[in-house]
Amino acid sequence: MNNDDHSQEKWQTKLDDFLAQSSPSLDNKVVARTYEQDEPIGNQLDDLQTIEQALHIEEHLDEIGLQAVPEALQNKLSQITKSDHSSANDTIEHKDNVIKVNFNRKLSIVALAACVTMVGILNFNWSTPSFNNQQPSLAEINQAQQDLAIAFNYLSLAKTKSTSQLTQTINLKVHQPMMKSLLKPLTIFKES
Amino acid sequence: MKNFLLTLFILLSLSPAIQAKEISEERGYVSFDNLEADYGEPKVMINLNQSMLGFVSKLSASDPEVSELISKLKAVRVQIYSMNNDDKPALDLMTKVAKDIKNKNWMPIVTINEKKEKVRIFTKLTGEIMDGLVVMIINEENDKKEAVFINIIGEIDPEKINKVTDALQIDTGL
Repeated sequence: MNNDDHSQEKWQTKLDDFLAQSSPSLDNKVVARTYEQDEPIGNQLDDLQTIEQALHIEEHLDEIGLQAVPEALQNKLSQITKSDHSSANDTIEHKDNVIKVNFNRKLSIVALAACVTMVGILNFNWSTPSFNNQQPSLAEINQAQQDLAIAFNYLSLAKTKSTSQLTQTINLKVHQPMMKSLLKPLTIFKES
Repeated sequence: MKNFLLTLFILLSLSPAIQAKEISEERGYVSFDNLEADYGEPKVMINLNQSMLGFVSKLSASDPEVSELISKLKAVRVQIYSMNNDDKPALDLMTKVAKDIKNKNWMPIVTINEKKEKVRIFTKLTGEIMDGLVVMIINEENDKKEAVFINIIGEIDPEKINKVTDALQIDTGL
């Protein structure tokens, strides 16, 4: 077993220990449920647990630490950077005309991207709640739920008052005169 | 270069349409004047926007019908004032709002004019869908006077109001 394998195993053990000893926070559970409902991938329970675990790891990444890059991979990455430099030098030395054309084209693409970004920034509504408060806490959501309950309680109150008033009016204007008119012939009949 | 300028022009001309619509521009929105000068700070002041209602809707996912109803709301605004003996400012506001929204084709569905109880309920209809509701109550009960102004923006089914209240299952002390 070489050093890379050993370090990878050590990191994995550390991560496993961390996950076994701690559980995702309530906030993470709510966020995970929101994500899962927005874009379900496969099995609901598995998705939910995976997202919760990912959020939990992200939150405690400083404690866990990052996995060291294996030496072989590091060498390969260095080689890519070197070969990029050499090919760029070749282009500068041998293809002056082509570079000029590409440079103009690249410049206009960069300018276009910059303008699009500027338009986006200028038109962004900075006062939108989604910007100022992207992810409300569980306490804030609970407070909102309570506020909504108060609003709907008052709506129910208005509905009850309206219904009771309607019943009273019907009773007063329709029901009572109708009953009187029905009872009168019965009384006359009884007297006779 | 010509293409670049053309693209930029199209982006600039389309950008206002891309912006989020302000809540005050919604069909179901009604503005209530502030009565703080007459009655002090409101007893209850609620302003719930669409994103917060979205989160509440997710929390109520156990009842799909209630969750769907809440998710269709765009805003819920409530102002409740405890009144002193002078109910004129609240009555004036009720009359003003009722007059304004009648001119904007809101439909009055309930009007109660009792001595101790005045209620106005208006709805804004788009076809057969109700996308705005205004409830104004001036109420006196056990020597307690209060003025209630509620504006619900978004699609709402009045038949399901009680269902939502029951589903939220919170003791609001009302």
